Amino acid sequence: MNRVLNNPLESKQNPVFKIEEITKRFDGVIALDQVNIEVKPGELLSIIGPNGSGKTTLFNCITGFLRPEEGRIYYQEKEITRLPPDKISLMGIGRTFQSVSIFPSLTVLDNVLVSVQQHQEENNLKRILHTKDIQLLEEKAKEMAFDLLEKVKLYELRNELAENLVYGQRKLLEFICVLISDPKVIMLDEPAAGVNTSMVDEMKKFILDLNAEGKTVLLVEHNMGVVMDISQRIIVLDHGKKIAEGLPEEIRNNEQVQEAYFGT
Amino acid sequence: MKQKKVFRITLFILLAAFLIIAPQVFKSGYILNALIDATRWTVFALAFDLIAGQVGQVSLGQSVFLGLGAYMTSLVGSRFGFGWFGSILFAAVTMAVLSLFVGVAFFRIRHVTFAIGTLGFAIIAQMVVNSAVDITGGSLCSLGVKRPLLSIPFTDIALKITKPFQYYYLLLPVAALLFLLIWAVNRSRTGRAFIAVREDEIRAAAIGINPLRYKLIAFVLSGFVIGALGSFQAQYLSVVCPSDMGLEITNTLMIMVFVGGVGKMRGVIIGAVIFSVLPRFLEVGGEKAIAPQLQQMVYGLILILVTLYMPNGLDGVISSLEKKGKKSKTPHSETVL
Ligand SMILES: Nc1ncnc2c1ncn2[C@@H]1O[C@H](COP(=O)(O)OP(=O)(O)OP(=O)(O)O)[C@@H](O)[C@H]1O
Ligand SMILES: [Mg+2]
Repeated sequence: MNRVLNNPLESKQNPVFKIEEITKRFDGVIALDQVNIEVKPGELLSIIGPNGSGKTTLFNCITGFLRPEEGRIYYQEKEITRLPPDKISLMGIGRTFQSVSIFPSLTVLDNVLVSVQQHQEENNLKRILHTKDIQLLEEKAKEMAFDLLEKVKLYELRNELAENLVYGQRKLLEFICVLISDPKVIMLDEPAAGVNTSMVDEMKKFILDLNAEGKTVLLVEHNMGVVMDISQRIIVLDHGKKIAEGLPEEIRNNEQVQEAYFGT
Repeated sequence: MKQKKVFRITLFILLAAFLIIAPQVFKSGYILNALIDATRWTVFALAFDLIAGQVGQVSLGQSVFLGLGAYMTSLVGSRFGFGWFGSILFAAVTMAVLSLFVGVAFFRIRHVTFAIGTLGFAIIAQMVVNSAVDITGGSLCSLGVKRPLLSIPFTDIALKITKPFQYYYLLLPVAALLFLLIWAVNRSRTGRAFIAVREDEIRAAAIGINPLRYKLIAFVLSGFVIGALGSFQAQYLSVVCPSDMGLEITNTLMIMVFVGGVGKMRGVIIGAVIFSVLPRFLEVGGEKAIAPQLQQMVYGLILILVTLYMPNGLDGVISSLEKKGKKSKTPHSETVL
């Protein structure tokens, strides 16, 4: 309810992201075509569009894995267009990958711990000397990791190698790996794809809870049930162009969107 | 879990004790030289594994740092009177700096893999050393590296190191320090970042790890350790030849690390001990019973077979045996899955 009281869509604060006219080409294909997007602090924004419309490419441009040929991207007023992905991550932007990504030969617990260590410190000399403050940080990281592992019911499996997890468990593991560093922005690329319905509901709840805590969430998702249900605002891409933007009910009734999806 | 730790610590203490008292038990120079070789190769293979195993970038140029580390001692350390330990430190630091330059160049080149780039580096480096006859003596080798002098504290006696057991005791603390360095790195957060980079550079970057930086850290550490070993070798053999940085050395490293178990310290140690001691069994009265070329061929064959049928090496075999042992004792221990 309190989401309605402080509606992030009416926020007068500076945008979290300001994406200006970005264009990304892959020899011949225009994956993003002069896209403009503003993301407001604390909002839950979904990006939808048919296959190949440029959603993942947009995520990759924002997080530094791809460099757009044209345009600029600002995060909290700072330009991040040409920053490397590790720097962008450390600024508090966490993401998951469409093809689930974990470190198979690390244990489940180590997967979570390695995801927070760089955010806590990066003092390689102290690490090698195993100093007291590193030990304390590691203890703290473990505590947080245990809580998150409990939350997604992976605690019992913490000492298993991650390669032994099934698909749904991997997806949950990747998800909590994003959460442990307490990012300001969480970008999820199809969190509900390939998981069973009860887990979809669970995912929905996790995402809503995070948003209620004040985190800005960017969601790419094909499952329209999820998108319409939890998004505050939706942006539609088609062939790399932004073709619509608005509240869920506006998008549902938008003719251009229906055309892009169903070709009618 | 606890039991395993106790077992490990006990094993470690026994091994350390054995290494310390070995010269009192084995008086033969032959066995002591074998021990020296096994120790050197173990640390060398672990340093190679920092790159090939931990951070997942196979470098075919690590022999260059051994050879150049040795030349640093014969051409600079020995001549300018750096002393035995000063020479080791000098070689280690210069090879670490060289590694930084080589790493920056070869981790960033496009179109050619790191392995091929470093292989080219090794071939060219050996050619240069071979043809710089005025400086290195070329294929006639650089002779006359000074025997280490160990000054005994509070006296003005300086002990000249010439016998195998003396060399052994000189090597042991240096090897122990280098071993501890590698071990401390691998078990630290830095080591965990290495594995992240090895497994998936893109994911590593997404969680704030700069892949290039961690590859360079591993590469520079490896160069440091190998440079130190090169300096020891120069003082031990008192001669440095271009073949000391030859590709046969890289072949031997590969076989030790991949047969032992790439990325696993336990496996690498086992592989290094086996393949540094094994060739000695194939010698008859100091003469090699089989031609070195044949040995390299056999190594190549073993390497192919292992990568095909035993990708985790001997370490993988031991791990699966351990798992089986555990299963038969506590049949319910794995029901969590
Ligand atoms: N690395 C790449 N190299 C070449 N072409 C690419 C690359 N990545 C994406 N593309 C192309 O760019 C376009 C947009 O792809 P993108 O993956 O962003 O789509 P998407 O909206 O995420 O699709 P999906 O819903 O299937 O995940 C597609 O035509 C795709 O083939
Ligand atoms: Mg996609």
